[in-house]
Amino acid sequence: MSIAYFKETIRNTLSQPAMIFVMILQAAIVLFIALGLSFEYHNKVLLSVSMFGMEPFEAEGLIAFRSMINNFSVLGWLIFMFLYIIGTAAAFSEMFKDPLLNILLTKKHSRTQIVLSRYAGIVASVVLLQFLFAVLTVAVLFFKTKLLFLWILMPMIVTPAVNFLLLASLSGLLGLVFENATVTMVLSLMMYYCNDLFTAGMSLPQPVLKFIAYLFPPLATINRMFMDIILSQHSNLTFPHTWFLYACCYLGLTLVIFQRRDL
Amino acid sequence: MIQIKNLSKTYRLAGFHQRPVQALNDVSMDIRQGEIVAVLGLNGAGKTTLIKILLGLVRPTSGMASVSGKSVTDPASRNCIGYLPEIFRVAPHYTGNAILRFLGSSSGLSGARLQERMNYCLGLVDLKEAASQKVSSYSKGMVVRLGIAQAILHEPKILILDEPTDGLDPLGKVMIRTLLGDLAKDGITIIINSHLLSEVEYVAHRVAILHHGKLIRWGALSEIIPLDSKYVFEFPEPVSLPGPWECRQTGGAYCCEVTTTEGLQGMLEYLRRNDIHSYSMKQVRATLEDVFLQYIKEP
Repeated sequence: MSIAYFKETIRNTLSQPAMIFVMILQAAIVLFIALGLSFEYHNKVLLSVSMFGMEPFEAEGLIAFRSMINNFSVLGWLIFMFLYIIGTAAAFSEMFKDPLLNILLTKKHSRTQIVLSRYAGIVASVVLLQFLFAVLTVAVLFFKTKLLFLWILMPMIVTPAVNFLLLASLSGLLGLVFENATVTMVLSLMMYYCNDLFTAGMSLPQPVLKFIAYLFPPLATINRMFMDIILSQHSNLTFPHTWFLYACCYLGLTLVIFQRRDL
Repeated sequence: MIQIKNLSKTYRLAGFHQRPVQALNDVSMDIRQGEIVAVLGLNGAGKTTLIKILLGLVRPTSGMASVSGKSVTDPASRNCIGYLPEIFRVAPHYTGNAILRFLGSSSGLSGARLQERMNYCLGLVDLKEAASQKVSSYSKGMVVRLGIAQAILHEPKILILDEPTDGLDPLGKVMIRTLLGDLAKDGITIIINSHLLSEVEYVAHRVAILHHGKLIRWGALSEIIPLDSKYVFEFPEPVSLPGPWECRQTGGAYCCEVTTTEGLQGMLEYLRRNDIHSYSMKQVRATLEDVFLQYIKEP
């Protein structure tokens, strides 16, 4: 992998307007947690959580808090993933228009290194943003409650990372096939938000439809699994190897296409 | 240094009604070390395809090309190549130093060696003082010079330049011309793809003229440009001339061009026989542009 190109991809990705908007939103959410949430404790047991003086959930303290974090996470997945997809859609599809690419390919870089650096750079950008967001959130909660809510790191870092591991590989493949940022963005958004619709065929008896359904990434399953973990700390859906298999297949196809392309 | 044998490239375009486009057709060349070679041709002649095949960016349909004995399909063949693309565009956040550091580290340079090479190359293209400024504040000529600096940063043995003097002012052109001459003296092989024939004429040792993907002329400048060239007769008043000759008004005089030695003898004979004495004659050496246009018209 080319470290220089990896760093350059992170820099480019984070300077996209959509990504800057994510940073602003994340800062606003951290401020909201810092200023808007109040926690009531008795003997280090969370009794209730209130938002600007109002109790948002009629439940026992910790359950209320988990429900709230779950809602934040869903909101995060809906909004942040939307912005991440927009912010990274052009990374592969517009790659050929970058005059530096031709220069880099004449340096000590193979095409495989370029694609892998690009892919790793995109995933790292998203993970970096989510990591900072999660660490700040945990830090703010610690200052307010003197308790370490480390399990929050799971939905805030691992879920987007796994989601993006798959989405970035898919975006790479779509970007190289269509060479158009808008098409890549629309298809990725459809794939993410209508995922249940695309993968519904997996349970059908018809083999052709079943096969087609298996071509789509199981993104909705990832979200379901992590939601289960947030709410009840366990999940019956445990097949992370499948996501990596999908990501490897998409990335492998991207590499094959890029290797054979005339630039 | 660079061997090209029977190289052909056909682009198969997407779409059922699209015909394949033959960009290169059976091109063979042998480029020696320390030579400056200019690749000339009209738009779509196959110049860029030829360069991209040498850089490994485009795969040939048939034939072979090798750089320093290694096939161009082998990524190791590109280690000794420096490349300046026709459009050297850099993200606006880069400074001159930053882009050189990025591309230098991509070439495997690092630490003090990288800094030393950066200082040297920036000095060569006269950009030392502007190196800490953002590239977005550079003039077109400065960007081209920065492009040349990045191309020679890793001390390549072969330099491939796509329109290197395009956008440069006369002073910049002279600087690049001198620099290319010095690099060639140091044993660096230089391939220039350019439309500026007058510039090429100053620096190139050998010229390749491509037309519709075919190599129609390949040789030293002295072989391609005839020394006897053409003769221009200038008359104070219109003269009736026979056959292929034509008297045209140019400024305040009437001129007639004769392009061959036989023609010259015929013209002098005609003037003597018709008692025309009031004229002047000068020998004009053909330029690369004249020769290029002649080959393009009659390949």
